[in-house]
Amino acid sequence: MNPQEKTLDDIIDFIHRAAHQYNWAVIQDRQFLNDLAEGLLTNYRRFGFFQCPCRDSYGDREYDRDIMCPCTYSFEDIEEYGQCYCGLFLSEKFAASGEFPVPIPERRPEEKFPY
Amino acid sequence: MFEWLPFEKQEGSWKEKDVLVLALTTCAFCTRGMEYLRNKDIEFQYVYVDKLSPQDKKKLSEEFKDKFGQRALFPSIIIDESDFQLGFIEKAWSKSLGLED
Repeated sequence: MNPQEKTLDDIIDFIHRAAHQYNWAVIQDRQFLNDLAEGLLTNYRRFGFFQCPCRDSYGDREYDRDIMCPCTYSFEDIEEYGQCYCGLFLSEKFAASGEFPVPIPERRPEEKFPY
Repeated sequence: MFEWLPFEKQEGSWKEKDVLVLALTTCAFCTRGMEYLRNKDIEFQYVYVDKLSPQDKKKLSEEFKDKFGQRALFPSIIIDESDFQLGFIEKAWSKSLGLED
């Protein structure tokens, strides 16, 4: 598909399918979800792949493979904090708690960043 | 600080501190952080780092590390050129701004 043809509904569908695949929950707050979905859509249109909307990087599929949503670090983050770095994907337990995601430590190694 | 960056100004009636925000257009915590400032009617300047050139991103990253000893994450808030917070945590921003009850 031409990246410019992706829609917000496509992105939200992608998010739910990814969550289902890994037995995660998706943030329930509609505004927060929409903001992140819009961010993913922007990055998809910019770069042609789902670069994490909460990090700035190269915008290069090869260099940024680790932060292609769902990012490499989301598995450990959801295990440790109950949420991914963006607060988009949650553990079922975290979601059931009703808590809202918060900023968590950046797990991406320093050498992976372009600057 | 970062005078060379193309900051945009958000007017507000609260001007007690100089408030800068480094944000991404794509980041939901950035949106929430700036909404918090707007709701408090705090005047601040912000820049969307994802819209900068690679050269400016590099310069910003180096200056931020030199000043604060850490990588800028998003959002970052800088208060009076000395205090800073990485990520939007309402209580932490409120404390840094001196707005705690």
